[in-house]
Amino acid sequence: MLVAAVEVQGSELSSRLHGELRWGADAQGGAPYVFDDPTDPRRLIGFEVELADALAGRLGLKPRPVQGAWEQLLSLLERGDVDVVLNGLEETSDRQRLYGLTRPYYAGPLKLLVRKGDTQAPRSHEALAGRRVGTLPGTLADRLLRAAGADVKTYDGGSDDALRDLHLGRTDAVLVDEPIALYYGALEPDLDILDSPMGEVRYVAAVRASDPELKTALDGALAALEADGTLARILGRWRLWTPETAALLGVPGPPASVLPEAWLEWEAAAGVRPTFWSRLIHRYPAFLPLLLRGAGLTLLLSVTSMALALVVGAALALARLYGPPPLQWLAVGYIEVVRGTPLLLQLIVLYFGLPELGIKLHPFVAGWLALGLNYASAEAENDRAGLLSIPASQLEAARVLGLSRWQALRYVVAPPALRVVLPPATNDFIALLKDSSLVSVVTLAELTRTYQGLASATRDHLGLGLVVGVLYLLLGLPFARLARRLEAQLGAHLATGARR
Amino acid sequence: MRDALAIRSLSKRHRAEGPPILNGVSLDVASGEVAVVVGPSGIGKSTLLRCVAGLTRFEGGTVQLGSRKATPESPEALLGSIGIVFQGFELFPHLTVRANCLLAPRVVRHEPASDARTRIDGLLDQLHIADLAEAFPATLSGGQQQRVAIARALAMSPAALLWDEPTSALDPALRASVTALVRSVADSGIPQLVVTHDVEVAQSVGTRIYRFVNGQLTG
Repeated sequence: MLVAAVEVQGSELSSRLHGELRWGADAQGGAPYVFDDPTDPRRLIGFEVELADALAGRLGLKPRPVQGAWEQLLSLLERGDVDVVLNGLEETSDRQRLYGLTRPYYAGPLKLLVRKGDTQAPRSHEALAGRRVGTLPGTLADRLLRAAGADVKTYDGGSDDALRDLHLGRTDAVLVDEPIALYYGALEPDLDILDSPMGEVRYVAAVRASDPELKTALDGALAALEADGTLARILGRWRLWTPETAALLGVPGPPASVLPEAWLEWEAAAGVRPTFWSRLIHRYPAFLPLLLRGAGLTLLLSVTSMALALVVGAALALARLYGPPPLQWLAVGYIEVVRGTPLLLQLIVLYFGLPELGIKLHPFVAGWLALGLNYASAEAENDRAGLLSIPASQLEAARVLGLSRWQALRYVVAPPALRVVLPPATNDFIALLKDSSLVSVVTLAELTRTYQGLASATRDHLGLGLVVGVLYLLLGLPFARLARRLEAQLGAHLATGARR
Repeated sequence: MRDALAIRSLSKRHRAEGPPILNGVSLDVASGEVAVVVGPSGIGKSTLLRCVAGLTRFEGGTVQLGSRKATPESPEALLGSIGIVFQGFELFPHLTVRANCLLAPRVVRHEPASDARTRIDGLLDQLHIADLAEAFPATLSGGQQQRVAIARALAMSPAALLWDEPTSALDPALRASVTALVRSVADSGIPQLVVTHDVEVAQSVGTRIYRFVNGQLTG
């Protein structure tokens, strides 16, 4: 009965959602939720990937994962970039009020990790006060630690970073959800996972409050997956079936035949760290297609953004130097505001803020506009310096010959000014190439984002970081060379002995 | 015969309350004539040239060349009709000698490329710098640069030619050649106005000589 009802609803939903279930998750958050397969990084795996596939299958939809920074997932939902967020989202009263939350699909304890043999380590809730404790931002663990009076350190880069800092002695303990403790903490031989109960998390999926049909459909699909044992089998495969989940769902656990295969595969892939040379020869070549795709996006975004910056920058410089007073003020105002506020702020406002005014930009367009319009303010000042470096008497000589102001600017002032502008503009392009990594906050998987995902999935930040650093260098160097050649050509007339 | 250059009661102040730089300057330069204004540096001789050519505003008076007339309301009326050989020549450093001369005829007058080139190469030949056509200004001597500046001005067939301190950037040995250049331009009938602080130069090139004192000309 229930299954039939769910299927009818599914067919109605399907046409509204164009046959797709766009579900938001952060692959960088890592195992076992949603992460790049360490043995084949082109594949996204995790217990929530399997859950999303099963849910979508129930609803007759095609699952489509959408990558976003974890803190931004609910903003992406509001913006309409995803239909549902399914990524270790805890049930809280705030979220209950603002979103449509489904029934929970997992319940488990929070776990405290400390260094083995650290006698000073906090081992109870009470002992947390005043101690430096790491966790993931915006989680139940984060709120619990603050309430306990701990000095909380949060990690945007994922749980592996938090454990790395604990290992290095930068924190006294780490408080995380049990799945993270199981998948990262258990691989660290020098860390202890304490048994003391610290609280319980329940994971739910979130849809827009304005979308109750989808919530009902997902709840129905979840209930069906509980009833037919699919959910238990998925959690069992990932070694995530907990007494808390059993108590919450009130259904039998996975049959004994279900082995924690996924967990074993993860342990085999991530538990041992091959030597750098073995990684360089065997692993990194396999990652290369994914990294090159990220590098391609970085390059495309940087080149198009720089083109925009050069055009808008030149217009701003001309308006500021030669325009009528109101235009001059506008140009000065633009330059001061844009260069005086952080690029990241501008990007977030463009992408997540403008939809409030009814303007919804594609992620690439938002990234392109933010980078291009931001760097335009720098280029405007470069251009102004270049134009001012040409003496006014050159402009007068052109005017006496009958050239209009515009013609004088174009044929007499601009060409030698270009030579002055070129070196700082090249410098800015290299800087833009690196700043383009910020666009990962608007779901674009450029080079740095790709690196973070792979590094977190393989617990390999250093070696992979070197590889990605080399890629960035390779991206920038051809442009630096090109600029030097152009500069030499533009300067040919200044070389003595050029007479033929 | 060419139109005369007629300057009437030209007056100019740099600041509204400041002393006048030009205090009613009047001057006629007939076709083929070379008028020279002599005076020490920094008293406004260059400002006089800039007003006559239309590069700066003035408060009173007129500058007339035939039917064309610049007034305080339309100070730029003669821009493009009067050539100037600047003290520092002001050649365009990114362009070859030929391109320096071709720029205005091509851009302002839209003269066909091949016609303009033939004409310019003829001009360079007359000035004995034909072999420098492909050189860039930075590689030329002062005397060569001056000839390029003259060629560039003549390329627009100016109705009058102004010279600002024509000998100051040159070796003393080249003074005689400047006199020859001014005379050869005079032979074509173009009225010329030269400002200089050098009395000797004035006497060798001028057909009429004026002194510039307190913003006014005396004969």
